[in-house]
Amino acid sequence: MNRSADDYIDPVEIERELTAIWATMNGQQKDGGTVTRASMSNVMIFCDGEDQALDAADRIPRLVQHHPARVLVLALIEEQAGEGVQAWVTSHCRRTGDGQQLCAEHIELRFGVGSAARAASIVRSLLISDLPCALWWLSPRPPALTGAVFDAFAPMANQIIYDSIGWADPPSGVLAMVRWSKNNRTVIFNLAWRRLKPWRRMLSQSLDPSTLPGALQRIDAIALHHGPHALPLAWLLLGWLASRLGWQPKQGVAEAGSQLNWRFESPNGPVRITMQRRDDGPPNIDWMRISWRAGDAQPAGYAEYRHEGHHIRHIPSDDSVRPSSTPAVEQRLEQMVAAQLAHRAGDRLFTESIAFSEAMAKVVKGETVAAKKEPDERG
Amino acid sequence: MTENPADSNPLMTGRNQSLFPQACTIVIFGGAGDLSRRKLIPALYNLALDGLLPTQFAVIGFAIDEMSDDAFRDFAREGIERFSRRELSEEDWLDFAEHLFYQQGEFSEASAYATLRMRLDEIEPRFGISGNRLYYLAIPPSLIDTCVFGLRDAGLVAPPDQDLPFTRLVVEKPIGRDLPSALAVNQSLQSCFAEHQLYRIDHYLGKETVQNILAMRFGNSIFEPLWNSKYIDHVQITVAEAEGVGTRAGYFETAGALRDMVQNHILQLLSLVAMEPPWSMRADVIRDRRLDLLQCLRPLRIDEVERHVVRAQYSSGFFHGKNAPGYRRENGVAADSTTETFVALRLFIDNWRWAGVPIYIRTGKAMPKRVSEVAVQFKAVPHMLFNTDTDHPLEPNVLALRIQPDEGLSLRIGSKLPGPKVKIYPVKMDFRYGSTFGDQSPEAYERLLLDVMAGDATLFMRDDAVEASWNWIQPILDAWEASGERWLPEYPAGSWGPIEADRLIDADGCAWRQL
Repeated sequence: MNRSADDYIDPVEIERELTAIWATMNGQQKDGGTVTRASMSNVMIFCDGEDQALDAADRIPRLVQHHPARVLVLALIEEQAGEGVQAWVTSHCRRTGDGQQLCAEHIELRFGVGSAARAASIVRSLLISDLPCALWWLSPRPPALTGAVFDAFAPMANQIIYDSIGWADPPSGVLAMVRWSKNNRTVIFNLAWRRLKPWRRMLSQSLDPSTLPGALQRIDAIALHHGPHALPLAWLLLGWLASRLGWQPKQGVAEAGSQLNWRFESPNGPVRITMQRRDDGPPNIDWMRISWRAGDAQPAGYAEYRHEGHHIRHIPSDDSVRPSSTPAVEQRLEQMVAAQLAHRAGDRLFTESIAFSEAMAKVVKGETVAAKKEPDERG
Repeated sequence: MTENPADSNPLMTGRNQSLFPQACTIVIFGGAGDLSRRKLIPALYNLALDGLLPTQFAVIGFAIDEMSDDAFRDFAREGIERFSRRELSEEDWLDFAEHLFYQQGEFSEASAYATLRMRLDEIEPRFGISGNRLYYLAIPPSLIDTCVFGLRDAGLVAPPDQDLPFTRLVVEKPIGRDLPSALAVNQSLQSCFAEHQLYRIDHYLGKETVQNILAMRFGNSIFEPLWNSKYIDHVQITVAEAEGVGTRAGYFETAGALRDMVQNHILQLLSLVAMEPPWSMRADVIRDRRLDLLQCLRPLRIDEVERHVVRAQYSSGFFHGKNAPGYRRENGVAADSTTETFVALRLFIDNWRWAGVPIYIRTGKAMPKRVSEVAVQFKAVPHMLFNTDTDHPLEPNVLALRIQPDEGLSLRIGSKLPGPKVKIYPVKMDFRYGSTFGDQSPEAYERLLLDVMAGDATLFMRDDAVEASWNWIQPILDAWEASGERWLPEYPAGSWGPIEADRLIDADGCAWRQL
């Protein structure tokens, strides 16, 4: 969606421009068709730079198709001179089966580093009342590490949606987000958690005691391979598994730049975990093997998992049991965001898991681990 | 009481148990039939695509037809290609198809169940399924007894007090064709299964908008204070089908609109619209409230039926400008048939909330369009300030819950017309599922199958509710039987029903809604 400098307007013109857009569309309707503004939310999308703002613009039609909203793209343009804020306005429409034209509004604000507070004041005036407001942090920087820019927009949001995939320093990002979350009531949500859904589904079902009695309690080793940029994903999965099974992180050591070795203590003994990063490929967890020791009259065993195509496959150690699978379709970012926008109450399990991830981050950073599993006070 | 899986599996903690059923086998009796092909298998496929089926599951089609596993997979594939709400993808299909099997058997023969048992014992360990079984009776009602006794005698039913592995039985409507036969069906079912193992399905209750009735009533504070005889003038429930009897003449001739629609779908719908607030969303609490409502329906004496109930048959007419045959001219319909294709009735709910509020119900085939809705019409304002001209009175507020198509709800309110005079004009505030939420809603069978697997009986009919609804219907059947009518009132195909239905509601100073 290319635009020239002439397309940008002064922010005071935004409402007038929107009114003109609606009037034009209503005028174009034939045969009694109607144009409806559909809005379930206000969605702010924070973008780092021009390219990301364009990327956001590509994603918005699909976002509003799944979750109609007034979308405010907040484009931080480092090189933008002066303190001014520029605006650009459009709408995205689709026709329903009964001839109705459903439209959602898209407003982009471009501003320089020093103008975040100025842009935030414009956003405040543009939010549709009585609708929830979410901040989708499209930038690859951890929100809580971006300082004034994040502080300007976060207070307006009921929910902050970010994606830890690609974070340069996951432990620092995890620590910053958990600390921010502790001091704010705003719901935070990491899209990586949604990506883990098929993994969590598969692990919880394939290791169910009705199928493998006692295996969960006797786990003694996990090996995991992941793609580039997927360490935060693996980290979060491990945080979930360890918090559910009552493990405590004792040691986390990075080796050779591509491997992370963990030692956890479970109620039944030590658990050794290695996370190995591949040099190329998509940012997925693509292989995992969970092993357990022998127990009271129960044999040692293992389960292997592979991310293949659109499925996660489980290959049991017992040859007589057929492999099983669960769908793991890679969704577009905007689809995941749209799905998350419908869940505004926060996810207790996610909150507990990232709190545990914080404990893991502290181990890696050599900080004292005081926290165990932290209950979600928000309920 | 079903055990909470999170108690034994900490990885299940915090997850919505109703969305993560345990590993199980689904045996479809009548697996080679139409319901299986059009609804059940496509529903299972869509659940698999959404990752909502357990990772370990198996589906066994069980029917009299000779068929190999591969032929059953072809049959299933064809059903998915034609009837699934999402297109078949080759990769997903291959994965899904591995879980499909077929077992031929004559339902009346003990050997069929022994063979089925052997098949289950062979298949389940291969999928790591520990014996959880769901039997789905997609068969004619006349075979229910045979199948449930066959299952019981073959030892294929888990003891009722056993949590795991579970056995659950899904039974399609109709449950009986009158009160005595419904009691007999329930008795047969309960001689083999405990009530908590039984899931009497009414697919209407699986529709998103039907479930939204509870959400709307009890998730918003603005409606419930008005939801009573002080503010509500009357309620209209319409379930109109555009098609005639089509290929279902064989069944419909023995049923009629009263049995086919009113006894189950419409009374269930009414129970959700009119029930008292539940104190929790637990299945039995909701089902208790629904039962309470059905038990409050004012019984009709046989001599009152004619005054409160209209039945009719469609005659030849036009549908979308084309000739449409009358019911008695349809294939498979007797030339002197007295089966009603249309019913309109007025009923009352004798309780504190609904005292004196008439509930009007109409349902029929060959009507101008397919539409199902519940409309709540509120009383007029106590003192008329606007539109005092009695020829153009103020239109009352109407809250319409649209079940299908265009699922959603609308509220008609009066608003001032722009201009120097104060003139009130009715405007409609409209909420549509499709427009607002965008995504395609799952099919009713998807939701209901998932609920059975997860052991959630909220949207299924309990024995007492089935019996209560038949209990209310029975005098109408008796009156019709006793009348010996050879000709029913007629309405032209493509119209909204007979003049008698208009008179029924007109007598109370009301009118059917224009839909």
